[in-house]
Amino acid sequence: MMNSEVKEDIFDCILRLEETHIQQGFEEGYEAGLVSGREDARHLGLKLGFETGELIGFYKGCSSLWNSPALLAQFSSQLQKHLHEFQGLLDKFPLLDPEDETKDEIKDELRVKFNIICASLGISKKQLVYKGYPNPSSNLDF
Amino acid sequence: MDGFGMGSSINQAPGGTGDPKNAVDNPTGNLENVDGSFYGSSDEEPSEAYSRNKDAENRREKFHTMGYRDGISAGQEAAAQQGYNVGYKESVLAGYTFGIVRGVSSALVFLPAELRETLIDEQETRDKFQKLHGCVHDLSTETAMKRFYGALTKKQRDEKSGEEGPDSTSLGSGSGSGCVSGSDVTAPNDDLGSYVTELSSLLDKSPKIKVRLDT
Repeated sequence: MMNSEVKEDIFDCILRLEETHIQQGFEEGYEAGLVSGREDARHLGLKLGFETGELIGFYKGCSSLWNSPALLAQFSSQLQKHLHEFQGLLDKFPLLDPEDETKDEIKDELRVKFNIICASLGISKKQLVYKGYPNPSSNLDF
Repeated sequence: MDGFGMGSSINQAPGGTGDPKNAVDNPTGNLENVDGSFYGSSDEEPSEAYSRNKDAENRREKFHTMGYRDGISAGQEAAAQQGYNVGYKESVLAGYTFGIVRGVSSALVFLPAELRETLIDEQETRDKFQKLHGCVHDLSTETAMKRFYGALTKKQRDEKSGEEGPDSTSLGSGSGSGCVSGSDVTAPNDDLGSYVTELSSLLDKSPKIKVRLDT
C-alpha cells in the first residue's frame, strides 16, 4: 500500500496527462473547425453585407434626392422634419461594422420613417422599392 | 505509469471522493474511473505491460477525442464570426453603392413631374434617369448579388493567378452598362459598376441633386 502523499502525486500525474490529451485534441479540433467554418460563414457575410448595403444605399439615395434644397423648399415643415430625421438615422447607421448589433433596431426605425415619408409625398411605396426590399413579417405595410 | 491498469470493478475506491482537490480540479467528471484503475492495478491485477499500454492508448484516444470535439466547435465558432466579418466587408460597399443607384433613380422617377423638372432641367437627362431606373428596377437583389459575387470571384481568381486585376475597386470597372447604353444585356458575371458609372455621369449633369457615392 502506498501512503497518501504518493497517491496524490500519482493522481496529479494522471490528471495532468489527461489534460494534456484533451488539450492536444482541442488544438487539433480547433484548427479543423476554423477551416470548415470559415467559408460557410463568409458566404453568409457576403449575402447579409450586400443586402444591408443595398438597403441603406437605397434609403440614402432616396434621402439625398428628397433633401435637395430645390425640393425641400416645396415640402411642408412636417415633411421636412421627417426627412431630416430619416437622414439622421442613416448617418448613425453602423454600415461598415459587421458586428454592431444596433443595426436591426435602426433598420426598423428607418422603415417606419420611410413609410411615413412615402405617404406624405403621396408616393406608392410598393412602386418605389425594389425586388428584394426586405418585407417585415407584419402586414401593416400599405 | 502504473495507474493505467485494469480494475473497473473497483470504481468506488475511497480515493475518488476522499480527495476534494482532485474532485474539483478534474473537469471531465471521470475521476472515479481513474481512481478505480489506479487501485485496481496496484492491488489486484498482475502487471501486464501489453494490457497497460493498450489501456493507456485507449485513454489517450478517449481524452483526445473529447478535446477534439470541443475544439472543432470552438474553431467553427471562432471562424464563424471571422468569416462572416470578412464576407460582410467584401460586399457591403458594393451593395451600398448599387443601392444608391436604386434609391436616386427610383425617388426621382416617382416624383411628381413638376417637381422632377425643378430638379433636372434637361429632358434628355430625365429620360436617361428613367432608363437607368428601368434597368435596376428589373434587377432583383438576388440577381444583383449573383452578379456581384461572380465579379468578385473572378477578380479574386485573377489576383491569385498573378494577373492584373481589372481594377482595384470592385465597382470601378464599368465599361458602360449594356442596358443603359443600348447594347446587349450585360453578361451575368458583369459587376454592377456600370450602373454606378451611369448614375455618376447623370449626376454630373444634374447639379441640383447632391449625392455622395461613398460612405
